[in-house]
Amino acid sequence: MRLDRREFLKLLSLLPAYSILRPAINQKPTQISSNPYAQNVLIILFDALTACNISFQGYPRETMPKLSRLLDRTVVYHQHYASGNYTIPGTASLLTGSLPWTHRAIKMNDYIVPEVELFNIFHLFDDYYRIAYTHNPLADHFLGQFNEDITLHQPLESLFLNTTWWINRFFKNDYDTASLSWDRTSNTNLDGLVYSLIFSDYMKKFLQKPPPDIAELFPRGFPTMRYENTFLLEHAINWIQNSIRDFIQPYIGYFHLFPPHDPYNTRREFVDTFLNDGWEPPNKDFHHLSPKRRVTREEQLSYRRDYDEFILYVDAEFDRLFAFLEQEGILENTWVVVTSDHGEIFERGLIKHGTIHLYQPLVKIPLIIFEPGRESRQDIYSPTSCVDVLPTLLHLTDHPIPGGLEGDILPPYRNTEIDPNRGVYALRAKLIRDSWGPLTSGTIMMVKDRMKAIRYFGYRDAYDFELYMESDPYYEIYNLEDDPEEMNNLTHQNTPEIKALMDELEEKYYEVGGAYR
Amino acid sequence: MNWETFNQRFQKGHLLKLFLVCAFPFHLWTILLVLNDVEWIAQRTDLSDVIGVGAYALLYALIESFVFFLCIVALGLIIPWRWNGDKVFAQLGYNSLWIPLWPGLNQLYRYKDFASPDFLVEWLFSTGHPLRYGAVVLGLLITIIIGSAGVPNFLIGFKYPVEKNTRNFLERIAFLSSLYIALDIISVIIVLIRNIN
Repeated sequence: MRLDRREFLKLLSLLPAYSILRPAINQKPTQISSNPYAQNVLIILFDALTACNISFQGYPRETMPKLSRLLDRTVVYHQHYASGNYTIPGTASLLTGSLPWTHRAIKMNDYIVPEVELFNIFHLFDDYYRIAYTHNPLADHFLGQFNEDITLHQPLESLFLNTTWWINRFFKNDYDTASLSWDRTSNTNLDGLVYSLIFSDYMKKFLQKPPPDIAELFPRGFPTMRYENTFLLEHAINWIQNSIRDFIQPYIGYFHLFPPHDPYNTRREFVDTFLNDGWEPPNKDFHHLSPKRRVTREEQLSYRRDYDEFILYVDAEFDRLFAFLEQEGILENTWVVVTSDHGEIFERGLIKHGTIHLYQPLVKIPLIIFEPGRESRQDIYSPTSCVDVLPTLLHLTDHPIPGGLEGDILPPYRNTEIDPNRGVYALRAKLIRDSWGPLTSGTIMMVKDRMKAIRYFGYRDAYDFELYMESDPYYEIYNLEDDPEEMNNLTHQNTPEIKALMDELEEKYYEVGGAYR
Repeated sequence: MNWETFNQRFQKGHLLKLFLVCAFPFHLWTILLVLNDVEWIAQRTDLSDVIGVGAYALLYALIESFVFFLCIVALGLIIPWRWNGDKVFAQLGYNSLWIPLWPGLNQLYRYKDFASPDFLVEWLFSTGHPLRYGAVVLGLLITIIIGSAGVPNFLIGFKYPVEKNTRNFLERIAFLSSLYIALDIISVIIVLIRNIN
């Protein structure tokens, strides 16, 4: 068949229709539960939201005033931990209820191993209508892996203002590296010098030209994913509000929203809220395992303030979503879980979360559960893990809990007290050569009751980038009750309690640090 | 204009060499910056990521070189029609080397505090001339245009030894650049491997 110009143009006109219909095309048939009493689940995840910078978790700045007012009908967890310090391990653990050495999504671009993939939240809720969206390509990577189990997987780029969608489209399996290279090719905000000599800078400026009315709202620049994919949290919240009426009940929705992940470009009304508020965090020394590019105290304070002001934006938009859910009566039969995938740090010469450390700001994340019909607030202070969320939700919605999950049902929804001897773990092992191989270098953390142990291992052999290890492995022990800022390393005290803690983490490392299979 | 006149202006061998000359500054710049980034990218993830970033960067450089090559070919359509063959190659080849040089210096100047020589600025201001502020900018522009564009183009156009030597120099650049193109091919293979399911 010969296609002439007129016919080609006619076909071209179908492209916009396809982009609108694509989400519907992506929908898969599902056997929805006929149980009229089945309750819905909404998981709202804000990326890189550390509990250490949240006002109702003890932070001096009022960063989440609106959410604070909603807590009198919730369960609030005060010692909740991510399983890693960045998106890949944290999200994989939340979605599968398994720890990083089990799911093996440890390095950038890692997939979850096939055995664990079967325990993904969407698969286990297979009698529900399952919806998922994320701004973050690293999380979308997993949603792609679970695609067969998701009824509606909203495309990542569909809620971006203007995008480098082509990277996600053409280099989907290698998004991180491709977009990093593109950043270095075109983004002068990173280092100043870019790989491109002439054209990319102009193209980027053209692509990122914002509508003036919206641009005024964000004087520091738009919220972006990797500096190129501009988005507004408002659009994601609007999309959830507009779509939720069409979800077939019962449903489970996973919405992994990028703010307050950097860059911290908050909305106009929150800019400079904390400027000159007189508060300063404790000054902590540079860590000897920090990278050589250490951030000064002034820069740390400046980044921290921008981050705190960005959390205000998250707070305002969540409040808008919550008001909608309440007004529509959705909260009457829906569990709403608010959490994060990892934290963010602004101390010890470190900023953001690209670090080998597992200090509290990097791993302590919020967990708030809005329970249908609850009238009072309950605070939980025992240590809990992101791997506990999946078994808890299965329990609350009358689903069987498969034996392979590593988390426990969270208090207060369990019949018995949580085991006080249970350890809560996190791992950072981005430098290992093979994620299915032995854990030859990394950082492993265990929180048990009020004590926290951190084990750094193998960095001397992995790379010599100014990483000086006093010993290998190198330990840090903190008493989180007496020393919540982790300033006093107790390893040199040599008490039986400290020694037992180190031995236990050492044993755990040898138990889990081998190769997969 | 038709293909016949186009072919008179650009011989096939010259077009390929011209493309290689166009690719040279873009690849050289990219490779230098990628090498400068090796440490922090490896620290961020691992060495395979460095290779990946380098492969994508060379791919982008190849595309940018091609777009630039098209612009240079378009530029070739406005130079005097009595010049053909070798002279066109020498002229366009030279221009395709100096044009990317200035954006590179501009990046260094804007982002790396690569300041103008103090003595030059001081001398310009010491003249006390009422146009001295404008004179700095004007003087720089004139220097750039005359120094890097006008004089060499004139010499290539009208002095055969200059044209011949320029052509010889461009031939060597094209040969060196062909090594970069070989790296581009390897980069394409790396990118394909990284994106295979």
